[in-house]
Amino acid sequence: MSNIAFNRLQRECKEVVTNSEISETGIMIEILNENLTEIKGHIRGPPDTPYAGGMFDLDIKIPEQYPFSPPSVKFATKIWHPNVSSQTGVICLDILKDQWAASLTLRTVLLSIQALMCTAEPKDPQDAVVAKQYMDKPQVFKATAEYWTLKFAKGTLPVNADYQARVDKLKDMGVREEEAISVLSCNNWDLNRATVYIFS
Amino acid sequence: MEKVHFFACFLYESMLGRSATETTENINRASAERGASRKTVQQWFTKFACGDASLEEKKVVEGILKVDHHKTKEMGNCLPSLFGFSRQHDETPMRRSRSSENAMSFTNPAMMQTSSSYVNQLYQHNVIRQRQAEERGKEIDEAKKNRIRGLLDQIPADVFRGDMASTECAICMIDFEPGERIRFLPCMHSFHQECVDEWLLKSFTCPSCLEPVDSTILSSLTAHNMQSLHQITSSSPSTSSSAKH
Repeated sequence: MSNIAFNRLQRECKEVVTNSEISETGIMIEILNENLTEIKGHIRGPPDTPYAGGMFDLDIKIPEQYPFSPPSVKFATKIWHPNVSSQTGVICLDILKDQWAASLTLRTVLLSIQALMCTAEPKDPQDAVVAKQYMDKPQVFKATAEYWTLKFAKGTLPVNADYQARVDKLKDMGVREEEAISVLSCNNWDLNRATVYIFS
Repeated sequence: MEKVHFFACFLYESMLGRSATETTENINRASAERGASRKTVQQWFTKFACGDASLEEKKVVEGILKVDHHKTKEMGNCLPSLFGFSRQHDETPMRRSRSSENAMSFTNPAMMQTSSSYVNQLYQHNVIRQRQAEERGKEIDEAKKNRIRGLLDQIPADVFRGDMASTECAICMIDFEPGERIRFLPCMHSFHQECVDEWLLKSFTCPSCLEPVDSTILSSLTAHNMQSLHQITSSSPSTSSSAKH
């Protein structure tokens, strides 16, 4: 990594760590290795969204050409969101691609992702299945996103008993919980279709 | 996986206009048992690009036809439908005459010849298109860089002095030190010259506000900036000396 990148990252980390508004904005970073190429980000689920109460981890990788190229950022915590892959956590966000500017920082990137969690862009989806549900069945989307927050992001909302019962049914058939949740979510919680999908 | 599967993939990927590096990645992702080296892919791509690969091409296609169809299927997304590929093109005579044939009918020897010459045709068309696009892309890229290099000299730059308003370079996030060269963009944002020049070669916009550092803005503002710069320079000896002493 170039000198400029290293010095800048040190400052950026300090900025996020010491910034007093961290407690208010709910973003955090954690340094994983000495040369600052891998960083862990944390975003608290914004209030009044299905992600409220959850804590979401992100993997941040700093490229060789940083800050002239954007960092690669993806969710390490599974999240049900139209602009995030429910399988891999890859994020569809313009500033992480062609709209990157050298003056953007890890802090502004994390704040942008948090804003994306508040306002999804279903017209420019990363996960087409989630986006379709978001547009066609907003109630199901909300309940599913809340269920995922509870299950994967240590959310605090009460569990959706109906969904839990369906997941348990699949688990009784020997399906891993994570797969059961994923397949049920993709099939709008239709147990029959999920079963057919898994066992055919 | 046998050699011929790799060839099929190389050809397929090159038809899609992918680069050798992308192809290597795709193949290695899809094939668990044995990967392809970038060098090999590069060699094949060069052969394809020569245009005179019809002999190789034929071997490849006929080779695929002999191998087990299901084996090729294992390649997953790298090779979704090499067999189905040709059937998607409505304008080809093959499509019209044999539209009802399914992919497996490629094992029919009579079909082989049609497909070979068809694939040849399709492939040559692709090579020409690909090469044109590449050249255009290169020309545009090089022209853009040259244009930007020429324009960089037009953007005002100066040595930083303590009395200037801006204090920090938003690219490296380090405070300006007296004596460092800084560049002023038309939007009045300033950066270390070496930091912002590297950025501008990539994207001709201000890293802070994304304002395009466009040539028209530049020509209209350069005069203004030069003037104000001149004013600063002419008034600075007294201010800076008084500040120092």
